[in-house]
Amino acid sequence: MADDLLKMMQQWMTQLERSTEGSDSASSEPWWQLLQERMPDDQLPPQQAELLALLTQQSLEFTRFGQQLISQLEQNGSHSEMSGLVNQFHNHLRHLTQEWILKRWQLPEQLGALFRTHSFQDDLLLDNPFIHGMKSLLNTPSLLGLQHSMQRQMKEGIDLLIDYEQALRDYSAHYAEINTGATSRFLEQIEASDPAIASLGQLHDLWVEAYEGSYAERIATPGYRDAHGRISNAVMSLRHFLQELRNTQLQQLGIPSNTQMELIYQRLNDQRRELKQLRREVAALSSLREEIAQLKRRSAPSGKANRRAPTKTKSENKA
Amino acid sequence: MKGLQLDPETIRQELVLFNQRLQQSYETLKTIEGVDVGTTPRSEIYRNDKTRLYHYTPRNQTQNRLPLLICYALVNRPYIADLQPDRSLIASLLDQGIPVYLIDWGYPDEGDRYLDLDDYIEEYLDGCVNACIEHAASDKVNLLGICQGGTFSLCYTALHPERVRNLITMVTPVDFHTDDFILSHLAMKVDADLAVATYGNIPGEVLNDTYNSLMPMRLGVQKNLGLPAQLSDRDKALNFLRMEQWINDGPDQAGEAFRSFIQQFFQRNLLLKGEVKIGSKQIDLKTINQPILNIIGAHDHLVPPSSSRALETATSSQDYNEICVNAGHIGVFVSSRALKQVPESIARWLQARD
Repeated sequence: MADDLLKMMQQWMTQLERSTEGSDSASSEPWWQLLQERMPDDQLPPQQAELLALLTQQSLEFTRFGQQLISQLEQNGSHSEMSGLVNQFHNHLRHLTQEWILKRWQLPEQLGALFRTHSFQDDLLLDNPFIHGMKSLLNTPSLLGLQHSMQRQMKEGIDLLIDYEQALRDYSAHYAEINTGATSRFLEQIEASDPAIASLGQLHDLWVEAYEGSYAERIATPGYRDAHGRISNAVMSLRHFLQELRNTQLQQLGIPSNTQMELIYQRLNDQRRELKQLRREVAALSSLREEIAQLKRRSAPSGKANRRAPTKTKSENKA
Repeated sequence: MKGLQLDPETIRQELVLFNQRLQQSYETLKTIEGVDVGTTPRSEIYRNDKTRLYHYTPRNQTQNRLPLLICYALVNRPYIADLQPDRSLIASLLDQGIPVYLIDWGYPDEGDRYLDLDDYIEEYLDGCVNACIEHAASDKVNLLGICQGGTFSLCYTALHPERVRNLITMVTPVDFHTDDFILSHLAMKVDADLAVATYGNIPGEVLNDTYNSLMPMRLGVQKNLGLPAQLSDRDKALNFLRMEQWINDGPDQAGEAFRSFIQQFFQRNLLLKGEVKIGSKQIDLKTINQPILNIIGAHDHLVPPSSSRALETATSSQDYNEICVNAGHIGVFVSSRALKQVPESIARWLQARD
């Protein structure tokens, strides 16, 4: 970590400690901007660097919200409308939840790039120009030029994409319910707090408690289970579809595709099993051979005696 | 709103303290070059493909005649049982005079996509049991299965009762359809065939995301906001980093084994019905007569106590004992409180049945 960054953090904190007129002066040169810019060049091991990035993001959200709150409290004095503060807090955490959902159920990389500029929060996904264009193209009779197989593949892709969007919408609706439930619990718990909540940390803890309660209730329902299954399967179906397209292209270019590699792995696995079975059989045979050898050794003295006896008899006969 | 009394000065001080700790965290992280895990001395005594069997160097005079073989889950790395010297189930068991062996399944790669439960149980686990018996010059093992490893241990004991003297299960799912088994509830509608067709081996991160999604706020926002307080102290930071390393070190899951486990155990709950198939063999838990010690986490959100407790009536054992530890899924064998209770209880229970 560069010393100038630490100095900047220190300055920012001193400003914050001294500030009596809102938080503008403290946030004028936020140290986290510098930190974010410098993060890729950091010399730390990957695990620590990743942790630092997470810490920075989290502190950024926490500090930004804290400063907004200070500003509002200072503008309106102790008569601030508390429900406004709570709404602000709720919005801050809803923002975190949305980010989490989109990160978790993001489109496969190839499609993600295609829709990078598109917002999944609004109603435009099914109605956007790309989908419209593709739909009309696919509805064009194949004799107008588009090869039937390609037309079929593209239609399949669009259907999967639409299914994904609907699944995501359905899934997000559950989160909207979870958030609403969490907010009601949160407000009830604040009302019931004795002594009163006096810090941001306590407010966060209370929110976590309220959210987890609402979340636990919702995810146990059949509706959430179905929505979770649907979004999981929709993301996988899209990914699988794109892999199949890539496999076809690779095959056409004479490059081994994933399907062919899997066939090789399957055969290798079958051979591995056969080899192990053979080894076991050989080991069992060796063990049997050893047992036979032992039995032979054990019976050898009496056997010699038996063999000697007739010889003796013969010599006796001769005698 | 009567329960809320925020004032700008308190919040300002809180932000300053938060950021001071953050600054200290940066300083602390700068001084840490890496973390070490699994430091208890051991030697590898058996290897089969990627599976390894380790024997831990005894510390005290052995109190038990039979070796204790630890079978961990496929879904995480087994060094959680030996995370650091003062938080090590293995070290504590050694201190109790128990001869300890540990199975490490390794990290499956693309070539392992077709490994199935038959390979894991009848080839690798069986190989480890035999190697352990040979190394310890005994005729049987005491088998300790953790989480999914406990389920594997139940299957193995049902298939080879003659090789297991005592069976210990820790945070082990048995009934996958109890009302509060959320992980299983969420797995119900996930298409396992599609998952394997899409990913081949199931990436460790996908499973990790699933575990984290069970308590998103607690494991996300709350944990992260608590970080500066944790990381500002070097020892606490090291503890935290070791645990984080383990959490993020989940191996990919061999596709076929994953498919079979999800479908047979999670989705169809066949273990309790006596209908699980490992290769061509059917698993009947009623063939298990061994003494059983079932260790449960009272606050386990991954494998709820209700699921583990189903073991009490699932087997034919006449010697069933249960310990409910005041901890979560991982806390059962990592928390200092649990480590004061669990290894000693295991030692006492084993000695009475050696």
